[in-house]
Amino acid sequence: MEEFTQNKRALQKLKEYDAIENLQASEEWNKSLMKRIESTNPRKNSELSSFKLAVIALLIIINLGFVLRLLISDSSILLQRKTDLQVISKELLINFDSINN
Amino acid sequence: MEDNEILRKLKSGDKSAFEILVSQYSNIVLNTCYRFLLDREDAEDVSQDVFVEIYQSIKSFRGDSKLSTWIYRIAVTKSLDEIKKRNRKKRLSSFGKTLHLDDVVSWLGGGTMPDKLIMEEEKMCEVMKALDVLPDNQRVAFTLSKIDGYANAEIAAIMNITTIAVESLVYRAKKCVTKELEIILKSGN
Repeated sequence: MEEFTQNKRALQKLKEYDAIENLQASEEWNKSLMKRIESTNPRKNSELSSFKLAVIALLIIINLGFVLRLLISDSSILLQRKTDLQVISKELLINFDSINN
Repeated sequence: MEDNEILRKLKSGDKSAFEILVSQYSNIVLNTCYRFLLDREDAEDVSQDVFVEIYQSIKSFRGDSKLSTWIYRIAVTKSLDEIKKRNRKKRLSSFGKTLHLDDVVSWLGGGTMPDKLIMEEEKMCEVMKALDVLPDNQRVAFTLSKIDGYANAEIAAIMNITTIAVESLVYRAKKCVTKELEIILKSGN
């Protein structure tokens, strides 16, 4: 019985919610909106985003260039060290492979 | 004036077209926000935000959906954002209550804090609580289904789902809200 009453009250509340009156935008609301619009500028989305994208792409390319340069210069330094070690080992009559291992 | 014509004029920066758009959509946007927020003042503020957003981003509207669908989608998103903001405030205020921060603030301000509860919100307090339990998609479908001017097809377009999915969401939401309301009303006794 209690459950039935609760259900009835819940449905009544939902009916009240359904019956909420529709609002009408007032003249004051309209004026205040137009005032806000006057002081607002439309966003220039597409131009700004394409410019931003171009800057980001440029930065990525520059970064990639740096990384590649570092990688290439690193491998050339390693090669240089290897040949230096070979020369030293030859001078000292040491087996180069044993140094490397 | 047709939506396409308004859109073309808006994109070219015609302010009178914006006034026409406001006169065509203000009531339904206001009522959409009101149904979600159940507070006239908040609904008026949020619906203004909706139109400011429309004005600011009209140039980025690609026309993939109808202009009305895009506008209603902004109204729904802004209303849900406001609800989230409110819930965050409520959590903070209940945390404040446990620390008796209200008394401290009142004492610092040299008086009592103004009570912000508005009549409709008080009247619909239980329904609001019950709606809070719903997941966003059920809440949106259920709330929009209660507003004059939204057919299921329009709701489906706004939510980017099928009409059958809308019907199912509304059905499940109604069941869930009724159950939740029963619990709330029972605990209120």
